[in-house]
Amino acid sequence: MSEHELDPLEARDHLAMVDRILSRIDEPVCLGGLPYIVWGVVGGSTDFVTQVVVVQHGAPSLLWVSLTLMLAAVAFMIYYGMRLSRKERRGLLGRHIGNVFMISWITSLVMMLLASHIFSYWAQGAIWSLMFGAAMMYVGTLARSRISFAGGILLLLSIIAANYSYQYAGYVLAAGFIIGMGGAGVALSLAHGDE
Amino acid sequence: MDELLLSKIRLGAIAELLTAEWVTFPALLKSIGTTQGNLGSHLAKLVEAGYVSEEKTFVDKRPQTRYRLTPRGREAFKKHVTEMQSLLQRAE
Repeated sequence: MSEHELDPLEARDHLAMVDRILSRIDEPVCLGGLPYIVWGVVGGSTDFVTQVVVVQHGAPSLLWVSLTLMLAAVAFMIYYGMRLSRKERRGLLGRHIGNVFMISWITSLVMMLLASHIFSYWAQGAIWSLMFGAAMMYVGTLARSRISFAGGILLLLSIIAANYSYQYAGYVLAAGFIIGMGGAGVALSLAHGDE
Repeated sequence: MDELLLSKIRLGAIAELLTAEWVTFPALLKSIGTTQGNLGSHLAKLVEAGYVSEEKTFVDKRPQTRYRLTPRGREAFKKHVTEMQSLLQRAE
């Protein structure tokens, strides 16, 4: 490749090459369904267990099941992140999506641990649904995934539904997580498989 | 125009890195379609100019080289593309 000033023909050729590369790279991100399934189950089981233990006075030891599932999900995400780092190419969009979920997760966790006097247990449950629902909708627009967007809407709708069935709020929020997030994960996995 | 980006291979490598957090050497080789040695020497020039950063890591106990676009490389690419577009406009 000679290194002289470009003439217009060469400039056109170079710009066409850049266009080709950028349009190839601009393909939609392939969202993996597994993290949605894992966090859908964890979120759903936490709301379910809270309803059983706090409202219906079930065995408090069930809370340990929630905690164990949460820790297992964190371990899974570390493994999942390590698997992603083995790929040949990591897009900026992929990193952005990871950051969106990480910020949602950390914000919800901090509110749960440090703001429990302000937010009652159902408010905390709703915060998890709200943060993850908003994150799923945002990621849905970023990755052009209707499944993720629809799942996010279902999570948000579950908060409204829980508001009008307060006695069973935990079950309703749990259903939101299982159907909205877990269901979206299953649909994404069926649509394009998990890597 | 940017002397370094007059090479089609180097311009292509920068364009590949533009929307990526990082890209491995084999992935760049596949998309640019040149020889290992040729790509290696072009990338070395980009690294030397501070347009691209090189990171050596181990994946599954095998060495892997990854490249990232630096802010300086991004700026140089934008400026170079703008200059090529103006050249075309002037020629039309």
